[in-house]
Amino acid sequence: MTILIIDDDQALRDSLRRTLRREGYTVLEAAEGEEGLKVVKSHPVDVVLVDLFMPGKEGLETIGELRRSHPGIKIIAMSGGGKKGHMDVLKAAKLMGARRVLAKPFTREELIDTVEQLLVN
Amino acid sequence: MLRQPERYGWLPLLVVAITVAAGSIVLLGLSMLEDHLLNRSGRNLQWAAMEMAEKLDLVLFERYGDIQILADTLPEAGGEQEGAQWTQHLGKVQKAYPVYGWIGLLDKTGRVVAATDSGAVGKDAGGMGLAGQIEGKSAVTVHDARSHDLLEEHKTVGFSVPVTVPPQSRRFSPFHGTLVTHIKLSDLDAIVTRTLQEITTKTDVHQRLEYQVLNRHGQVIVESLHQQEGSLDLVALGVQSARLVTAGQTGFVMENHARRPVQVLTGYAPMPDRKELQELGWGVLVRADSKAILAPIHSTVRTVTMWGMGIFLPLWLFLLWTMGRLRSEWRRTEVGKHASEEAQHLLQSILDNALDAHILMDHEGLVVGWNLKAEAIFGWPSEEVVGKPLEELIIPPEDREALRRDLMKFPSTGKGLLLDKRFETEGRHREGRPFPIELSSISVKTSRGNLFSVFIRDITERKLAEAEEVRLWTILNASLNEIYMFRPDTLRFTYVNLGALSNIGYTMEAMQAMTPLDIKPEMTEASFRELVKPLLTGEREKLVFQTVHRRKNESLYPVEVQLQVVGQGQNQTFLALIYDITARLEQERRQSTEHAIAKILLDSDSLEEASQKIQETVCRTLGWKVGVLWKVDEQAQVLRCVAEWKVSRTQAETFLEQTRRSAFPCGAGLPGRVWESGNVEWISDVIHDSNFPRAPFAAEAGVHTGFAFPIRLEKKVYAVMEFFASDIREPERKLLDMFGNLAAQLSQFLRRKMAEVAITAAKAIAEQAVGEKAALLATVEAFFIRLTDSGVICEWTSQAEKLFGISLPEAIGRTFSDLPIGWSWETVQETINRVTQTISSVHLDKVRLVTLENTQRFIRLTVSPLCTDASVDVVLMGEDVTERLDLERELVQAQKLESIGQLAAGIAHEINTPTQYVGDNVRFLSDSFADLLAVLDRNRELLASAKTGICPPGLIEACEMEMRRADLDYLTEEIPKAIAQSAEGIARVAKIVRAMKDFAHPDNDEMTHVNLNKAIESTVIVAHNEWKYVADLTTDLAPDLPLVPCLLGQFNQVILNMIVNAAHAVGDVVRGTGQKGAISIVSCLVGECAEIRITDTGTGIPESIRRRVFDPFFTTKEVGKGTGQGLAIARSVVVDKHRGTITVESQVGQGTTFIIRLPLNRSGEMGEMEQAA
Repeated sequence: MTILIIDDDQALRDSLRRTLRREGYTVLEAAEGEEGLKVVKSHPVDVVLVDLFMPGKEGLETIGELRRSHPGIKIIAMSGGGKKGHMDVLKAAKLMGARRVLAKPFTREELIDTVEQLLVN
Repeated sequence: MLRQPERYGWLPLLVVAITVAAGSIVLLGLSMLEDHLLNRSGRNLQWAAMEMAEKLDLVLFERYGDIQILADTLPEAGGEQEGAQWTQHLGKVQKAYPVYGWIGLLDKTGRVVAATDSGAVGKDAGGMGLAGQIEGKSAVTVHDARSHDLLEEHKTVGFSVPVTVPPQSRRFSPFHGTLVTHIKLSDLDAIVTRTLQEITTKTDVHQRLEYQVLNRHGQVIVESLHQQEGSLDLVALGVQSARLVTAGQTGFVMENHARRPVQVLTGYAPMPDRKELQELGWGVLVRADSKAILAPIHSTVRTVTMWGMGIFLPLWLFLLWTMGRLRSEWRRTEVGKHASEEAQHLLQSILDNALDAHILMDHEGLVVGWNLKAEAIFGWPSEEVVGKPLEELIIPPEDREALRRDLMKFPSTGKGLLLDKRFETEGRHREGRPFPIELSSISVKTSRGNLFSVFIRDITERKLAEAEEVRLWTILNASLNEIYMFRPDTLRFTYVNLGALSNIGYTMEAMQAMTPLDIKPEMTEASFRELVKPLLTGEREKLVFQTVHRRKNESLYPVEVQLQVVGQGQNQTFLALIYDITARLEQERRQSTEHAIAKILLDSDSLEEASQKIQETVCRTLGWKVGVLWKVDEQAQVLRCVAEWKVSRTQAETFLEQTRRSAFPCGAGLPGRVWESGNVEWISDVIHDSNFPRAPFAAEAGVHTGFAFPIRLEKKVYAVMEFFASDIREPERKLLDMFGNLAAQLSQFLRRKMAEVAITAAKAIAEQAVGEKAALLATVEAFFIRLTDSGVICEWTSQAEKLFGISLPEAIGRTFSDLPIGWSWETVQETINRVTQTISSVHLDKVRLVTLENTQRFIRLTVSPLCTDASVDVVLMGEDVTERLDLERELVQAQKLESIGQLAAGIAHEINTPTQYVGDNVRFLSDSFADLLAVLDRNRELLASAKTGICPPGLIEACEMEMRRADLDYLTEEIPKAIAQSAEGIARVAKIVRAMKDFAHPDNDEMTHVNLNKAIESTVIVAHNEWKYVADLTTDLAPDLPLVPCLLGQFNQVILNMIVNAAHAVGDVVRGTGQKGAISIVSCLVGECAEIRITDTGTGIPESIRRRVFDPFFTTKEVGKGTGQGLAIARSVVVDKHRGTITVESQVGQGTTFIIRLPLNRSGEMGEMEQAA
């Protein structure tokens, strides 16, 4: 199973990668939306973790593009607004096509569960 | 009492002293005399003693010499007869010389061989004490007096001489015997006595003299007295003269007698110093009693004294007596003098105290005496007048001649015109003014001529009083009032003035027999006496009462009596002033009517109402019966009756009925006539009047006199008032005047009523207007205060009431600055002053007010001038903007929160992301550590087994497997990274949190000194998420930028907005390009300001909208992206709150720079701002 992480923060990508790799997933990384789209084009990706706050191609846009280019792809949106903040943005992400939404900071369990849930469906 | 101590009291003393002195002198003289006498006597005595001593000496010396001769002349004899021969010889010698008491011849052995005393022959001389052995002695030996046996009771002086044979050659002859001779002292005594007698006769010493002869030891051997047996040792007795004489001295001395207690004078002299008689050394004392010596003096003195006493003492007594008399005379004189002085003083006091002036004038007309009253009356002090001619002082010039003549004549005639008389004349004051005086003078004959004693009284007052009295009587008589005087006891009249007589009608004689009761029909004697009692007792000074007097002709008239008592005691008399008050009563009645009318007019609301009351009043007081009021009916042109009144018991019903029904046209009837003529009409008897339609009814009612007058309004007759009386009366001037007044008053009344109606209407309108205005102002939220130019409140709306807690009545009329309003009166007053001076409005944006409930509110106040004709009023309009300010603040806060909110997502992301991976990393590290531990364990096992050398086969594999499982390479790479990233992540979070803390300042209104650079940096961090994707943000913050007074929270807000705007602008440019723009923030000091420039490489602001960017709600962003408040708030904050400037430079396509300048010095008070509108 391949998971793509699209986030502009290197440290975050690394930590997520470490977590996911441990679980046995193959992890691909992209620093921003455009790059992410390229990766998806060239690699088979099952799940995409997209950070909503990114320069260039904004998170939501990226989600939209992904959905358009790869309709089967499962997208998890990440927001930085705390658990309670900016639910509107998260809702918007869902509207754009993100299957799930994770609000940073989320636990490893939350992440793994969400990923597994998506993969099951 | 004598004032001085007794004069001449010393005189007797003097006399006594003189006497004493004289006596002393005399005594002194006497003693001197005595001394002299004594001296003389002493000398005499001494001389006597000397003589006697010499005599003695002579005698003895002769004997001395004799014995030698005798011895030499002894017949030679021998044998037995030798003794007898010698005895015979000796006897012969003794006979020849009886002085020898005994002569004897001794042989060698001392035996008497021959002696004059035959009995002695054969005896031992030595045994007898005669001579002892004298052998060897060649010369005569003298033997001092002593008694011896031979002569028995006689003391003798012995001489002995040795006899030699041959007797002639004494020198070589052997001694045969001794011849001894003795002289009896008694014989010596006789010699001495004889001598003394001689002396006594020679001198005139008359007294008894005593003498003593003393031997060299001081023992008495011879004395005159022969008193004592035995020898008296005077020296041993201490007799001075004895001592002296035994000492060989000569002199005299006063001493006490040894045996008698008397003073004696003793002259003493020793025997001359003769060699031969050395043995003896006798002394002679001659004494006399001092008394005896002095006796002559004493007797003389006594005699003189007696004579003197006899003469002097009486004289002396007489002298004392004379002096005593003299003194008492003198004392009497003194007393007399003092008495006379006292009398003088008394007289002077009396005169000074006299109520009249007293002048004493001498015959020359000069003033001798002048008392205090004279000083007072004439103005001359006494010092100045004494000795001056009286005429010049007090006599008027014209009378002086007369006085002078009188003075000249008086001495001779003893009479004068002026002198010695009593009369009234004129005196002259010092100041020259004459005044009447009464003068009484008498002449007094004195030794110095005639003295005139004049008493003068200043009768000015008396004269005035007299004149006054005359005047009073004249007045009394001339008075038109009636004046009566009557006695208190009989009440008979004593005086009635002309006025009284003429009015009352009686004659003076008749009146003198009458009493007040005769003319007072309403009073009895008892009541009268009762009435006047308080006057007699003195309780009241005056009585005033009204009553009725009856004239001689029986007519009565009302009077007011003023009664007094005048005089004292016996001379008391009643004085009555009578006033005919008929006219007065009438006057009073009219006046009271007028007053009543005036009051009615004030109280009435309509003419009809007034008219009724007036008519009632007039009728009642003036005796009219009926009153009617007619009003002009303009349309019908008739007079109609609108009100009537009648006296209650009058039968005038039908008359009134008719009156009510009547309507008189102009000219008809009494009312019509008045209407036509416009004047008062008087009908003496209406019944017989031609133009009186109601005549029959009047006759029935018994109404006779009628009159009417018009009541005008605006020159036209408005109404007519009628009055009717039941008797016939003639028109009376005063009455008509009164009614004329009444008419005028009624006109006025009408006018007033009209005016009142108009005023009431106008007032209603005005009040309505005022009410409307007030209502209008009340609707406005702002309060409205209007002050006069003197600062007095003349308008004060309800909002002002509410806001300041001062009600309208409390505020109106008070000086505005006196009100207890809790704001800065300085500022407000200064603003008001400025407004009035510059005649322009001033806004105060934010005035802090502490209300009466102690809450703080802010007011926006506008002070404006309001120019009226006379002055410039001041209008203060304002509203409570506390809520608005609160809202503003809330809005600002909301804005901030909104911006923060806007940033929240970014900030949250900025915080949450690190949080995320730090957490994950920690988990990773934990797991990795577990894996590593497993590897480690296997390796330890391996090591352990390696150590033992035994290596279980699966161990290496298991080890390798473990290592593979752990993915050591992976871990080696990832673990350090995870650790580093976690550290960095935590640091990032901390930074953001700090920045947030700096940024999210609690909002306050107080400016603080802020480090702008630090604030900018914090804000930059906070906004990091906004710009980090789109631009590189650089800061160039001047390190020397000073602290700037600033509202930190709001400043941060502004910078944040600017950064966000810049980020958005740049974002618009770089979106999709994959590139980043640039934002730079620069701070530096420019002049007195801190300048902050925020530059971005964004889209730029077109010229057209550049000015509008600061407008509120202006935004170029789409809906949902920004509210457009940012720059508006920025401007408000920078310009309004900080008095700074905010400007924008921009070029489309290049970028934009916002420049903010904040002043370094504090400007504007906290919370309040001014802005000239």
